[in-house]
Amino acid sequence: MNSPMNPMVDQVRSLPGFIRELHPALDDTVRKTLDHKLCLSVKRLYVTGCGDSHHAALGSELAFETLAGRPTEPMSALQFARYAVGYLPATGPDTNLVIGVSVSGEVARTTEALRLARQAGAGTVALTGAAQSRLAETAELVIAWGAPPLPEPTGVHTPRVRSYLASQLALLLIAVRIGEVRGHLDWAAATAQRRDILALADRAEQTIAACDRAARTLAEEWRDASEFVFAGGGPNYATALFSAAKVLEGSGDSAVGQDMEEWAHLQFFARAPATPTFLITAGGQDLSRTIEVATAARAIGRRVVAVAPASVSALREIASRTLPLADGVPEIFSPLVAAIPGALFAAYRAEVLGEPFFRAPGGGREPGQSRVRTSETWDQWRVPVDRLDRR
Amino acid sequence: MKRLTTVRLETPPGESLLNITDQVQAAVVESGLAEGICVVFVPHTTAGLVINSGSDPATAADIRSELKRLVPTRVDFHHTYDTPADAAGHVKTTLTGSSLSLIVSGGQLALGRSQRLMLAEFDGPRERQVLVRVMADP
Repeated sequence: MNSPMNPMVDQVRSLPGFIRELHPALDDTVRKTLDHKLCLSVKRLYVTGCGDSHHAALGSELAFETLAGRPTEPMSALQFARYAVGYLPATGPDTNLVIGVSVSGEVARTTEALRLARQAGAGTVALTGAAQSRLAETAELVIAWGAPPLPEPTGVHTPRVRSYLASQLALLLIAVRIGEVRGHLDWAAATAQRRDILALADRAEQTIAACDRAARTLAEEWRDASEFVFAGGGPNYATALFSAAKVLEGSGDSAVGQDMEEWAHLQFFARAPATPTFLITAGGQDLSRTIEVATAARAIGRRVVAVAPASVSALREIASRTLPLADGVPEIFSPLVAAIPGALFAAYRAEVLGEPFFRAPGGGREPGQSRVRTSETWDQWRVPVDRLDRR
Repeated sequence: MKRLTTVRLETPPGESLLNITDQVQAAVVESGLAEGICVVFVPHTTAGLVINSGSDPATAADIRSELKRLVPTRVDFHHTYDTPADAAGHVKTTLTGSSLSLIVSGGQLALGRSQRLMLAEFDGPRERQVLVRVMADP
């Protein structure tokens, strides 16, 4: 079913088929790109990117640590390139593996991060939708998924949903690959993980079926709202950031992605009582805290949306509304499915308000103004001037 | 006469030698073959077949460790699609072979007193099949 008026909704609805199409090709690419020597040399991973790509990195941390069995640090590209790359542990060639994620492959900061990582002796992998790109040229290895975006009406630039999923899917398959080659997962376990990842297509289908109409209804009912909060824990902190990003891109409303615990320390004190607050959980490690936060949020008048598996009844009973996730999704894989309700809501919010995606050009928001691709980059690491070093 | 039987088994993690003599013997008995040949075949590329002593488990351990010494798990195999253990398993399987021809006499496998037929698993855990085909003497 197409939604000619809303290509963002079309993207969401295409996700199950996209997973099924992408999974075998990506798995093949990952196996052929990451050889035994590299996988066995890795002591720690850094996954870096900007925007959605940074969110994908955050969402994959638990999967890397669980499946690959290696400590993993997701970092924004600015943090990695300007504040961290000079301090990577000097433990030998390819012991630090840096995965730079950029859909276009042209983002300046992520390219800078991989360039400096190579200089620091780390192994570098470009994970991108564009095999011929600056990022791909900068990295030693390239994992390109390269599926074309869905067609868009002329002049419309749609917030990306499919590319986020592609980045997440690739990162999960990389984690399984490293874990299998290292012997952290045996053949049967790795095969089961790959099968579970492919089965996310079915879980995505169920989630879309359960949320599509409900998200549209919510966007209409809460048309009056002008700011939105999304909170999640663990891997779904990434989902919270991504969901808020889609609202910002979609309708331009103020939207914040927050860690579930941090919500209690910060947004709890925000003045406006009825701010729609989406609490995202896969019913995993963060569930008890999510229920406490939901109770607190309702007590201060927030409109609370539970974005949680249907089986998590304790949270549903507290929340004002529910955007149900399919049951049976392991928490480590849940960001792929949990991103769906927020993306649908953002898409319908823009439609209900009649707001063009990414705002119409003008008011200083001309293409290139943010300099995401043309930002000044460093050719080499610069040691910070540390007050303690001054003589 | 039932000429083809498929024995299915789940192997443990890593490398192992699994005694499948009883299952193959049972297939021979079920076939009704009295005199002839039994061909045993493993349709896998990281598991093979060996005949050796089943009396002392240490023998199986010696075979496993010698094969490991001959084909160590290392990082410079050309085949890197799966794991180093998988790549080594392919090579070990060529050393053991994938099929055996056994004499059947009096409805029994004509094995020596301590001889046992073993599936050599080089990349477990897996679900494996062993095909048993019997042929009567002309």
